Amino acid sequence: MRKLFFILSFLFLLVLQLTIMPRLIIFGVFPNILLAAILFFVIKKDGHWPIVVAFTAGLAMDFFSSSPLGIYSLAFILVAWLAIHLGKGFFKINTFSGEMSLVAAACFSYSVLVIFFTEFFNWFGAGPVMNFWPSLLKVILPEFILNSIMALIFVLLLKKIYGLFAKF
Amino acid sequence: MQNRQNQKFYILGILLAVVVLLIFFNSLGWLGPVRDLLLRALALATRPFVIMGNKVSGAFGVAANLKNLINENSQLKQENDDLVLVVSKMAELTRENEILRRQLQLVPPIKSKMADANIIGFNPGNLGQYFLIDEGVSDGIQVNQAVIYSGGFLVGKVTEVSAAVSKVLALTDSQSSVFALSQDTRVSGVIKGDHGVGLILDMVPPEKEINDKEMIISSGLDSSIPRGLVIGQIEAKISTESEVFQRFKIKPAVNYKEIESVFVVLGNE
Repeated sequence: MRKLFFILSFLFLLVLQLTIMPRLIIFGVFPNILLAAILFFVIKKDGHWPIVVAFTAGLAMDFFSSSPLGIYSLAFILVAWLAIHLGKGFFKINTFSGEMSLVAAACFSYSVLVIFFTEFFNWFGAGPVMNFWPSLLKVILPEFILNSIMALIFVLLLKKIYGLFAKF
Repeated sequence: MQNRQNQKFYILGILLAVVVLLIFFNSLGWLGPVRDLLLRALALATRPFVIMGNKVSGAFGVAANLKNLINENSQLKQENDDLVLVVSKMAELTRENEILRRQLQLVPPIKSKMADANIIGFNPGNLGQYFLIDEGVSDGIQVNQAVIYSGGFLVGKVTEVSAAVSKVLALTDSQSSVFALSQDTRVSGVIKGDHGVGLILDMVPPEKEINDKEMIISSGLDSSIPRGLVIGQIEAKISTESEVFQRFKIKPAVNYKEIESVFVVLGNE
């Protein structure tokens, strides 16, 4: 039952990312709710599940995006893995400042990794040609700030809801 | 503890290997049918969310731009009054044109065949401005066909087609380029997308002059994009004197956040 709930929630978030999130444009970019969900899993769950969820979310985004397949899968897997190791080894994720720092670091890593893999694939003739500096100012930086804010709100909200469900 | 760490590394390694394999299969074209199936499933599920997204975007826009709405409203009322006069003059000119064509026995103007399509999803990332429509090969859609919004506003070009779903590259994408023309001064240039934020009219010869707020239309030099489709309006000149070509910032005629359905230009009737 719990697994079915997680699968349906994941599909719902994917549909949201494909339909409603692209409409919430601030400074020319929109947030990534799947990234926020992965960070919630990293903070709440132990073990390998956050990486598996990251892989699934990244693959789903790759299938529906215009970018070459693999960019978002690789970026999400590495972000989840980095977040797990930063969270356990560097930041104190049981404090608010630790969570905030982890979310910001993960969102920054996500933006950098997506650009890195896009350039990497472009080197092999796949994917769009990117002008790095205009993309940095118009896409990467606003996206990092927006993702950090949204992911933090999402994680705090889900923790409250998760806590309420755990009581019942 | 060590076992759990090792297990995480194994899982990371396996998942990375799976991704690399999928990239390889995708380059061979083996994942095409899978992608097609997923896109068809998507088409069923997302349409209500796209409509909801418009309402959310509308409410979001009102909240974010409350300050500007009053000014924009009075500006639009004035523009609307001016346009009523223009439409009335156009109707008279059209009537006169038809009479003259009949008298001179000229070939009637070419009309294009169109297919209407609903938007069922958007690019989930910020790199790339695409949207998906629920028409595909079986509906006569082909790559490079022009996609327009009601009334003749150009919004993009078809870039990928599967059996029942197609991908449309929006004009505001950085990879998009369309030959264009200024409506009054007839100066040609190339419309390029500006990272999803807006449009730029580039490659305008340095000796040519374009009027402020002049309409920009498609020139018809692209084989699949008919002439005369409205693209936007000149907003400001952004090139400097030292640049070889002039560049202008263009205000798109279409608000991409509001469109729910489009037309694909299939060809001439």
